[in-house]
Amino acid sequence: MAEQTLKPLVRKLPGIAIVVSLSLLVVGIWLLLKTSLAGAALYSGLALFGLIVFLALFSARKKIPFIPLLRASTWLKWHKYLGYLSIVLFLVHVDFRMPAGILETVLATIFATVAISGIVGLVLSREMPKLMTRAGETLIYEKIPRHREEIRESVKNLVLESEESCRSSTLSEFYFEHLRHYLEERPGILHPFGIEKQRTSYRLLNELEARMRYLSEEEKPLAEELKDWIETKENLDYQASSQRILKGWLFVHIPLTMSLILIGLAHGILALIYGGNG
Amino acid sequence: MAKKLQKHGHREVDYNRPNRKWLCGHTSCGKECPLGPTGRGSCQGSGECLPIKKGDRWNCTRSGAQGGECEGGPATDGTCGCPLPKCVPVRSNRYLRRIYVGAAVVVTIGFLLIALAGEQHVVAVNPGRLTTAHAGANLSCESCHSQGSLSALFSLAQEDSIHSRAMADSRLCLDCHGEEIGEWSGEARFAHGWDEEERAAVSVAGVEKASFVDTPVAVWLASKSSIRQEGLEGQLACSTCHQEHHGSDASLTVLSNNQCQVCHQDQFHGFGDGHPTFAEIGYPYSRRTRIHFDHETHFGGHFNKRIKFKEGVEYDWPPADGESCRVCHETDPNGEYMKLKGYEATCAKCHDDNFVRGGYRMTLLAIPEIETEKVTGIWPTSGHGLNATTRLLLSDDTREYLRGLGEASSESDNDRIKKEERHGEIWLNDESRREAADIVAADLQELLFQLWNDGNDVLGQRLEAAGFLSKKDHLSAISGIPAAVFRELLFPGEQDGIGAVAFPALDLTTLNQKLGERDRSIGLWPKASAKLTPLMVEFLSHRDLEYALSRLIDDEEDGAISIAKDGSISLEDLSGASNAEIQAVEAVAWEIKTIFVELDKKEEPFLKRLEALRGGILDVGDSETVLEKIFPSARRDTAFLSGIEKEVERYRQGFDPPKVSEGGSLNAGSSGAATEDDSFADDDFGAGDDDFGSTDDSADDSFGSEEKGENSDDSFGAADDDFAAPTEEKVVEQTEEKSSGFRVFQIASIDRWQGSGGWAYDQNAISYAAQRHSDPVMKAWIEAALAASNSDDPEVKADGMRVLNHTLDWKNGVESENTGSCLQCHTIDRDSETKKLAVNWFGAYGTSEQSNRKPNLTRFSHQKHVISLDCLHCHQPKEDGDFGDFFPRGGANDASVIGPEKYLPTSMTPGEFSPNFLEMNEKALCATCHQENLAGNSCLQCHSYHTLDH
Repeated sequence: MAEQTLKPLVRKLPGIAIVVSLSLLVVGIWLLLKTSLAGAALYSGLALFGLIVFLALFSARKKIPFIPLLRASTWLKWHKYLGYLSIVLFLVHVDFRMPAGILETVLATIFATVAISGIVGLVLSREMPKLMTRAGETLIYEKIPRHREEIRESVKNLVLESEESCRSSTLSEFYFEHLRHYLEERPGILHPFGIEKQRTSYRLLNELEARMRYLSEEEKPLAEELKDWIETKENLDYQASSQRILKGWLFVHIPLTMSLILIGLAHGILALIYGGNG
Repeated sequence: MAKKLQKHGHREVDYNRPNRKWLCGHTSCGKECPLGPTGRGSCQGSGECLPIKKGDRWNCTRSGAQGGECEGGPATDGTCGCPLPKCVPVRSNRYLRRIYVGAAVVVTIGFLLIALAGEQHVVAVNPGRLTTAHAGANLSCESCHSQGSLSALFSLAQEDSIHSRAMADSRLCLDCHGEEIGEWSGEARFAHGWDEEERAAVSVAGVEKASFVDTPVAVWLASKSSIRQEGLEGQLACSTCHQEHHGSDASLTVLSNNQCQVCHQDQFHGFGDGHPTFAEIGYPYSRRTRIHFDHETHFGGHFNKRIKFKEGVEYDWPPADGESCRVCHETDPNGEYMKLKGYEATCAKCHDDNFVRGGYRMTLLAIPEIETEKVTGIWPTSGHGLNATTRLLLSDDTREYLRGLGEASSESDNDRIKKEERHGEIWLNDESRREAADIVAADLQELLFQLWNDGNDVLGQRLEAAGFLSKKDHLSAISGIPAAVFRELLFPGEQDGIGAVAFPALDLTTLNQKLGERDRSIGLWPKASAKLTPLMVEFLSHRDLEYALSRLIDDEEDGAISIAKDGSISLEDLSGASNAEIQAVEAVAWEIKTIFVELDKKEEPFLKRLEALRGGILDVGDSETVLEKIFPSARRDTAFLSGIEKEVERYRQGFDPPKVSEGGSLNAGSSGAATEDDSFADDDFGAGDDDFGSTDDSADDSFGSEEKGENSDDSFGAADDDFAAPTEEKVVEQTEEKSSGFRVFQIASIDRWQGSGGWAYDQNAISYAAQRHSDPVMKAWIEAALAASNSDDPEVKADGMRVLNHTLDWKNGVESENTGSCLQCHTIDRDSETKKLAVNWFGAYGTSEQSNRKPNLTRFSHQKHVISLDCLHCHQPKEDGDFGDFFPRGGANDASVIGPEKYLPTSMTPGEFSPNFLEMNEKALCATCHQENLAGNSCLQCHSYHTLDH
């Protein structure tokens, strides 16, 4: 058990060591620059801007996979390491103080958002797949609408079949009253983080379970299958929401990175022009 | 149990193209068409498949995932048999993200345009609020930032370009802070305001000490790395340390101890760990005190014997507590330095007596004792040699001659030898120096004539010619010397009436005889024995008589009258005089009579001239005539003076003077004017019956004779019998005693000058007595002597050294009444490099009125410390000290130094010093409290970066 707990840590150890070492190096150089009154802000700023541009290239790298510039996973690994490093570099660049100017405050806010979104994205990318796998069958994001249609179609056929074969409208009533809308609806973005008992699927399963005693013996197998479809839809919603989240954070991270580069460039130019006195 | 939805067979799964921009609008309901939208987002599908034609037949191509081939198959025209309604394509995730990115770029550029190009761009780009001081100064960006341009960016990648920009901006800082920091063209741009040479000088001490062990790692790395601003010739921009735009409460002067140390070669861990000891850096006793004040002798002796400065304070050495320190010391307004309270509040209580007595003197010009035949008049027996200052006043030729003067042949007394060696005072009464004596005497007499005539401007000119006074400021050293003093030096008061204002003795017989030939005469004339004195010649020369005087003194004219060597003119024998000379004598005689009338009437022309010659000190009261004032012992002879007054009045009106009758008697003139003055003979010249008009010197009823009873003391005797009537050809006979009453100039008021200080004449020398402490004349003279001593011209330097030795009289020090007494307390320093001499007029921290405190990198608040600490806590007295040994008192101990400099003080190097107090142990005294968490140990707590900012 202990070994299982330590394994991921051991696996991460080189990465941690790299990040810590690079951070210490950056802080050390910054201290030297600051101590020697040799323009610590200038050098750290130039390094930070270069680093951000390099990190942004990861996105471009993914768009041009045919060029043999290391594997994307390697890029991703160094994207993470250098992303952490950029945070350290940012802190020393601002001398661990809150910026006061409008432009600088906007720039710092954007950097913080990009950095936080990056970290959140990293965490989600690491943790969400586990949860998704644990939740049930993992699905291709682009196929999910079709799967949703399949489920809806299958359940409808099932209900029609029960009505014809069992001559009972219990399941069909249940379908029309509760299930149809559920099968057609799309889950919210926070669906994976919702409390299980508050989910619609939970309520529907309970409702269906409550109606089981009114079902004939012929209907019961169909009701059981209906339950399966409800669970399938629940998993589909879970997968769909999770994948939306996994893709959604990039809608913050990447556009703001571009803003960060542009405003950072403007800040750098201003700093170089007016940097003589202050 | 959830069902499996994902299918993996290639026939069962459609191929997805998420990279496409557009997706089919039916995707959301799971029925996307196989064609999908166009690249521009237009729906191009009409069925579930795109049938393909094989031969003549259209075949269905619906994928297995969608149920495979449909039953109906395509229509004959090739359209799908399972038509789908048109859709509205939707954007793919990737395309949406790209749109977001584009939107972000657009929004960002828009924001930057608004921020940088808008009206409020200054607000937008301002990186932060300025400190309160700068914010209140109404500054614009351009006030502190030199104009930036985008083109400059291309060169900004180079460090020196960035630094150049910062340096350019730093110039703008000095627009406001120039007074504190200094001129940019000077040393302000260098670290501490020191140029490379100065920095190198202070860096030497620490070179060997800096090592890894003694140095904080960050400092060591920073100082050894190439990151430092090397190659910039030590220039630092203001922004290197002063970072603005960090808020109104931010400090612009915050520096860490490591930042301070990184440039220093002597690096250490902290104030209590490695900081140089005060002794190492020579603090606080890096040099001899500027004012020679021996605490030990004063506390241990003088104060107890002479005076107690403050009631209740006991003086002893070592003192019991620091209370007595505050009697003379007080903190400056900043609370930093313990400065002296000033002379008046401290030293004057004991030392001011010497000024009241005029005890501090220096000699400017002294008539040397010379036995010579080359000069006119009688040379005084002064007892002086030719001193150094008088030498400066001689002509260039004479000074050059004296430089080559050999040693005296005869054995003089030791005192004179010493004076000659030490002060350059040449004893001229030596057989081997007869020629020198003649040259000096003639030169000196000419000088005195010039001084008498042109005043002391001549002194300034001579001193400048000698290179002694190179600055006009130094002229104040010789201002205010009355010209009369020079005249008195030239014609000492008791020398045969040379300096007298008097009726000269006239050869009346010859004169009136020759004038009688033209029916003219001199009129009333008292009997006198004096010649026409130089002083009278001086007066007459200012009364439009130059032509007449030139006739008298021109040797080339045929005649018997000429000026004597002493400047006087004898008119006692006119028998050989030419007609021109007789006419000149007549004019002179009438002018002399006019002068005496003016004297009696206090008329302006003569009085002004007289006052000028007396140096403006003649004070003629309203109730007195000039005659009474200048002849205080003589009574005014109303009859004589009124007689000549009437004559002068008529003379001025064109009246012909009385004719000389045969036998010498005077008659009225023949002119019309004379007729109306028929009474002249009777009224004007006949007042007495036996006093005037006679050339008979033997007349015994003389003016003021003893026989005249109560009138015997009168200057001119009684009105009724002092002047002989012209008709009786009698001449008033004056006794020598009475004629002496006409002497005007006696420098009798010299004593009064001395009493209150100032220039004085005494013993054939002009000297100056300090009137008070900080006497400006005395100070200027010493500065002049030092300036000459510092000259690069060896001759001027030698002259300056002689004057220093002479006027300062190092040897005798306080016993002397020479200026050396000033330097008993005010020390002279010799700069170790330039070898220049300079007087320390003030203590290190000045007085309450004045300060010569120099910029210092170290500050220490005495005020804060004396609240809780006794002065003696830090300044521990040294018992049995040798403080006084390091203050020069004279005497040569350096045989390698020759010339006048040999006799300067033995040591004027201020670094050689033994203080009255023990050196400080800063670890015991300071580091106890000054730790990081106690009183603080920041470098900036005690040290300033700028040397001019406080």
